[in-house]
Amino acid sequence: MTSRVLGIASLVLMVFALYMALIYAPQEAQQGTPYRIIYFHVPMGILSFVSAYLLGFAGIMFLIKRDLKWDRLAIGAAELGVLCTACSLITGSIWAKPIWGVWWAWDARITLQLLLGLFFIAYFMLRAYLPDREKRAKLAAVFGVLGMIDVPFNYYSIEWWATQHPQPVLRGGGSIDPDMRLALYVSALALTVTCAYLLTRRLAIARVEEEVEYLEHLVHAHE
Amino acid sequence: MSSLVAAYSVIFGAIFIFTWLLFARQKRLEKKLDELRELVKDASRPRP
Amino acid sequence: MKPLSAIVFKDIVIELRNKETISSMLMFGLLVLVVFNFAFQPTGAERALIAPGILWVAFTFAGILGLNRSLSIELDNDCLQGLLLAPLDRGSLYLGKVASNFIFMMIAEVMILPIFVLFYNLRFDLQFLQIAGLSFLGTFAFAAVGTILSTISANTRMKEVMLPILLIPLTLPVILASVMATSAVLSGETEGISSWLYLLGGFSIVYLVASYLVFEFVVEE
Repeated sequence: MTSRVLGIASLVLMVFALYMALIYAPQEAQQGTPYRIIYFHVPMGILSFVSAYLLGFAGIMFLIKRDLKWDRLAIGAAELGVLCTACSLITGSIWAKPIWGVWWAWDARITLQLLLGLFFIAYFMLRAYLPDREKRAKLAAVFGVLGMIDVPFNYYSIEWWATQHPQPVLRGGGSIDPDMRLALYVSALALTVTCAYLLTRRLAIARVEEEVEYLEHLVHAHE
Repeated sequence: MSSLVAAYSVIFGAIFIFTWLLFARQKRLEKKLDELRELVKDASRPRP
Repeated sequence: MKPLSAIVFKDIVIELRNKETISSMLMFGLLVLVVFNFAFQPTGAERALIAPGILWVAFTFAGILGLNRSLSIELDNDCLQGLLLAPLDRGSLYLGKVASNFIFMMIAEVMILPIFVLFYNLRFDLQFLQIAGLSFLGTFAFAAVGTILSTISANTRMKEVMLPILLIPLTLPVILASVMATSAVLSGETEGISSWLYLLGGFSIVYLVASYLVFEFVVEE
């Protein structure tokens, strides 16, 4: 039920966000059209951090409660993390080419994003090489917690290392047109709801997966 | 302009593919679940 | 304190018998220094510029080798099971392994460092001591997170391969901070160095505490 409501809401919001991003928001003086990438690039970047924290949180909850539902949440968060880091990296690269003249500038935030993506992939590789269900959940939870702790360290070390990226537009008193800000909020909301919808679908699938695994086990035991 | 189109198609394409993969996975699992349920039911039926 | 020193003592005794870990780390570190010199062919001025990076790549990869070795010693003949049966809590076991990994890495690094200074025409003076101090801090942070990750990777089917995959994304702040601090020392512009040192210290403390708390989940059956 919740899933259906979220699905419809995300469809409506996405269409509205497209309208806000492409038509409602005013043109930017220096960059022209390519700046409109911001409306989906920035929320994707933020959501990838949210996924990393969700993954760590699910890990902590699993270690405390030992309930596999938290492990399912962790998988969902990690998959969303891969989706969001991939989207923000690729759009960032497409945006950097006309503005900075290069595809990849090794600036602070893009490097951080790349590392976050590598962390999510490492998380999946770890899961793939752990055969036992219980052990897989436990060790992946520990790795998720360690990865979550790493995010602020990565953030500051890379921040101090190099800064070419514009300062965050939502945090701090950067000067941004109120119409642009509104459009950015709308697209952030739309993408958040979409991710929440995908997460609920993923959790439902994970439950079925476990049931299938259990039944397969039963059938094999019977044979 | 072309970079805008490219970036937007990447975002929407990625979300679409992700959703599509999820639904394909769900369908496959449900089919498998039905097969397994049948198997379990057959096995639990008393033999003649 | 007692179990901690017992674990370190045990590891040192094993190492004194076969001398496998430190010799392989040392050899590997040296090879990295040589290979990078061929790969970049630096001239005088460039050499000082890329030297910090090369030094820390050598330390990182030698460290990964050491971590893998230290766990395979425990896994051979089920030594880890024996350690788990011993009357000591899991946290102390973790701290003991961190201490012995740290000591082994430091021994290898102390031997690599003079050769590095020699190869890259740096000076044996205060700078040398400062870099040694930095290695101390950076290696401690590396050992703190490396020990728990090597225990995690030991549970997987591809032990040796998994460790760098898990370790490198997480230790990038350590590598970056160490390289930046080392190049600050080499160039003599030590103004911004304190933030890197704080980062290394903070990273070590946070990961030591977090790993101490979760280590029992990694080793329990």
